[in-house]
This record gives sequence, structure tokens and C-alpha cells, in this order.
Amino acid sequence: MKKLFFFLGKGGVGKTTLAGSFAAYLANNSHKVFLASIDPAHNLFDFFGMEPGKKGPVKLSEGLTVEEFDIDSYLKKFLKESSRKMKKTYHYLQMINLENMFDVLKHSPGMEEYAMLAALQELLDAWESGVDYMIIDTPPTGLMLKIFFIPNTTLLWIGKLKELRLKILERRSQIAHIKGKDEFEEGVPLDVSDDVIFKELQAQEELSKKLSKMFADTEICKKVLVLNYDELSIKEGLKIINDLSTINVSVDLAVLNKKGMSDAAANNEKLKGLLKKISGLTRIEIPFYREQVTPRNKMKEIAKMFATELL
Amino acid sequence: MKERLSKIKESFLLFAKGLRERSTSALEAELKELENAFALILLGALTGMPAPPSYLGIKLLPFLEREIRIMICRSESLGDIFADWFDILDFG
Repeated sequence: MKKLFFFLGKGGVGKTTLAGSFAAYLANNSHKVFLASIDPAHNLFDFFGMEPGKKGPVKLSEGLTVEEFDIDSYLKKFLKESSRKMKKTYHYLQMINLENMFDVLKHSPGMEEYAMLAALQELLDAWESGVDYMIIDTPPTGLMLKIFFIPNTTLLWIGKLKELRLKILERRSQIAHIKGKDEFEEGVPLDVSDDVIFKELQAQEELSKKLSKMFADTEICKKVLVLNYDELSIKEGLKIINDLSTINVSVDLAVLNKKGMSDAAANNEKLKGLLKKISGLTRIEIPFYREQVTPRNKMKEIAKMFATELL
Repeated sequence: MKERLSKIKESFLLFAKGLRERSTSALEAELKELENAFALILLGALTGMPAPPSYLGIKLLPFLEREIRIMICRSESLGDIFADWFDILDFG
């Protein structure tokens, strides 16, 4: 069965190492795997010892393709397209250089999350069209949670906006019925079937529903929470579990990475208490390796420790 | 005779038009409010109101010319709410 894996957790816990190891392990077992990073501060290529800055997907082996998504380019593409549509509709804007205005909009709150969501949609299309396993290395918690939440938030807003839009169209059509269609300027839609805004809202609704449904699907979409044996990463992990549960998204596996890195942590009662709070989750422990983990030395060994739990 | 009938017909048509105007004035006022609200909700972030995700506003912006014009007209006449109401109730 085709599956999608998200590696979540606090920055620096080892998400990239585990995601990279898992991807290479699956590819070695004759699966078609796509490993993507949507973290704006990528280090996936570093893990595989590749030159940074390569655009687009890179085929590392027969079954493994890797890509570091250029989030900025998604924003630019979206704003350029919006600017083109604006100029087409608002004729008096032909003379104004909208690109400069959109350069500022690029930094508006919420735009980065949108760009990541656009990247995610593209990934899902790739996944649906022939990849067995899609593995996604995510940005640190705050940003990633927003991405999980955006489809649900958008659905709430779209529901209300559609209601309002239908009322507008209903009133327009009532007025046109009594006074004639000439009452409105040419091109003003009077019916749902002519209204570009309503159609756009519906298209966005479908996309958000698809993403929201996919995030909540426990069969095909697996969420792996990566933790370290320290208070901050476990507390952040608990936050991820709690926040995701509010939108019916569950975490499937907790991987306690770098166990044994600190002797003091092993006997820390507070940490043991915190870990008890995630006792309901299947937990895999991965030891701390003194030497640098690279795709060649420990990758297969690491991936084997948790792969069976996920497949 | 024919001329008289035509004038009577014309008067009836004018009368009917007047009735239509009166019957739709409340609907038109409501429509303006709804269109104003629609633009305000989508672009509310600019005035500090709770707003949908920014990209939704930007996606719909190219098609919102009429609503934005109405929103600007409404915000200009906000200082004279009575004039609006007198207009709706057809006073003066």
C-alpha cells in the first residue's frame, strides 16, 4: 500500500537522519521512494553528502529520489500568478509595477505556510502518480503544526464565505429579476454558475478537504514523532500530540533518538515522568552513536529499528 | 384616442417602474452591505480584523473589484449613517 510519512519533532532531534535512513532503507528493498524536505532550512543534501542548492528532484539511486523544496520559489510563483490575474481584471493596474508590491506581500504573516502547503500539494500529486512511499522531512514544530492546521482553518473560513457569497448572488438575482439584468454592470455574476469567486472558493475547499482527510488517515499517512532524551524535546513532543489531536490527527510512532547520550538523563526521574505521558504510543529507542551517522555506516541499522513498526 | 391610450400605458409603466424601485431599495441596500462585508472579511487583516489565511484573500483579490469599490464607498459614508438610512427609507 502506498504510504506517506511525516517526521516531526523539535529542531535538532534527528528528523533528517531518521527520514534519510528510512528512505534509503526502503529504496534498497526495491521500493520507489521520494524523500522531500519542506524545511526552509534544509540539510537533507548534507546528510547524503551532496552539493547544496540543487533545484528540483535528484535521483540518488534506482528507487530513491530526493528533493529539497525551494519554498521561496512557490511564493514567487503564486504571487506572480496573482499579479497576472490582477492586471487582467483591473485594467487600470496595467501601468503599475505590481511585482514590487507583491515582493512586500511575500513577507506577510501566513504566506510561508501557504508556500509549504503548495509544495506539499505538489508532493502529493507526485506520490499519487507512481511513488510507493513519500517521506517528508518537516520544519520544526511551530511551522509544521500550522501546516497541519491550515486546511481545517481554511475550511471553517470557506464555509462562512460561501454562505455569504450565496446570499450575495441570491440578492443580485432577485434584483435582476425585478429590475432587469441591465441593473448590474456587464460581467457582474448573478448566478453561482457564473461566479468565479464561488468557483475559486469551491476549488480551495476541495483541496483543503483532501489535505485534511489525508492528514487524519491513519492507514496511509504515518506521523513519526522524533524525540531526544531531554525535557525540552519531550515537552515539545507532547505539545505536538495534544495539538494534533484537536484536529483528529494522531501520531503513530515515537522514536526516542540518541538514547544514552547523557548519563545524567538516564536516571532523571522528571524525564521518566514525562515519558510516561506518551506511554500509549509505540516507542522505539535508538542509541546514541559516538561517530557521525552517515548514509553508509549506520543508516540501514537505524532504519531497521523502526521500519517494521511503520510498514 | 390612440395617443391617449399610449399616454395611459406610459403612465402605468412609469408607475410600475416606481413600484419596482421601491420594492428593491431594501434589497439593494442589503446587497451593498453583504458585498461590503465580503470584501471586509477577506481583506480584514489590513485593518486588524480576524481574517482568513492571507493566501485566500490574495487568491480572490483579482475578482473583487466591485466588492472593494463598494467597501471603499461604504467606509467613506460611515460618518453619515443617517443619510444612508434616509436613502433606504426613501425620505427627502
